[in-house]
Amino acid sequence: MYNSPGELLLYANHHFPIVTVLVNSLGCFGLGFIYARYLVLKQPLDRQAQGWFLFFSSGVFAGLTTFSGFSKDLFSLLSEPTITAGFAVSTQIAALTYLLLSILFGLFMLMLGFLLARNRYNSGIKAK
Amino acid sequence: MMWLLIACGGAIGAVSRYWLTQLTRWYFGSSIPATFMVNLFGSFALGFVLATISVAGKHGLSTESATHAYVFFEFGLLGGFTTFSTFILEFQQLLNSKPVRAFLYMNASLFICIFAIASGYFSGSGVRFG
Repeated sequence: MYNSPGELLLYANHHFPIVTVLVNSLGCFGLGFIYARYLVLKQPLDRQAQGWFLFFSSGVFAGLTTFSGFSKDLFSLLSEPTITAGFAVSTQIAALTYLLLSILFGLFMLMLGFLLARNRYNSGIKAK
Repeated sequence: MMWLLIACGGAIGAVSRYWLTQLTRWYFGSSIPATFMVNLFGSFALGFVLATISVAGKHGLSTESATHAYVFFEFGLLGGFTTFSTFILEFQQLLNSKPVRAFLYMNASLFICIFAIASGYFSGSGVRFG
């Protein structure tokens, strides 16, 4: 069925790539959280805190998420029909679902992380 | 030792993204051009790498070496280089101040990523060995 290792890797993805969605939204949550914490605690003025912010934002959460994997999934969803719950789903519908799910869920998780951190650290400041 | 491959690739990828971000912050005053370029180039490179592995497989590259190369590039180097969370954060920030630009940025990124991975894949398919 496959001629070579590369084709196998690109087209082996007959199932909906839910792992990429999960990884990307988890990273979005983390980045939203760390960004709100950074703003609320006024860390831009603190040099050491800035280093830790870069470690988490640029290193951990931006490294955790992947855009190349996202485009690869879109490309392979568009190339081959996906099999979901035993049914072959049309390529366009699968790709559109994946796209909207990734973006909307990522945006939702980012806002959730942002609001959680803002409430948490704002109330901490008020208590003092 | 797969994790070591991923760790090395991810470190190189993330640091180059950081430097590019610093460069466009200094030049344009924004990190958006860097994120856009990083995602565009990362998608192109992934398409190219996948096609090259595929071509090399036809010339006798073992499945084990192919898997190592694939894991290094996809999960390590390009996975660390490209970023989805920063893209969403920038979109959300733009959405509050300049909604038209936010949707332009979103549509440009999505269109370009498909275009980039497809052109990377087709140009990589033309690679010849020996």
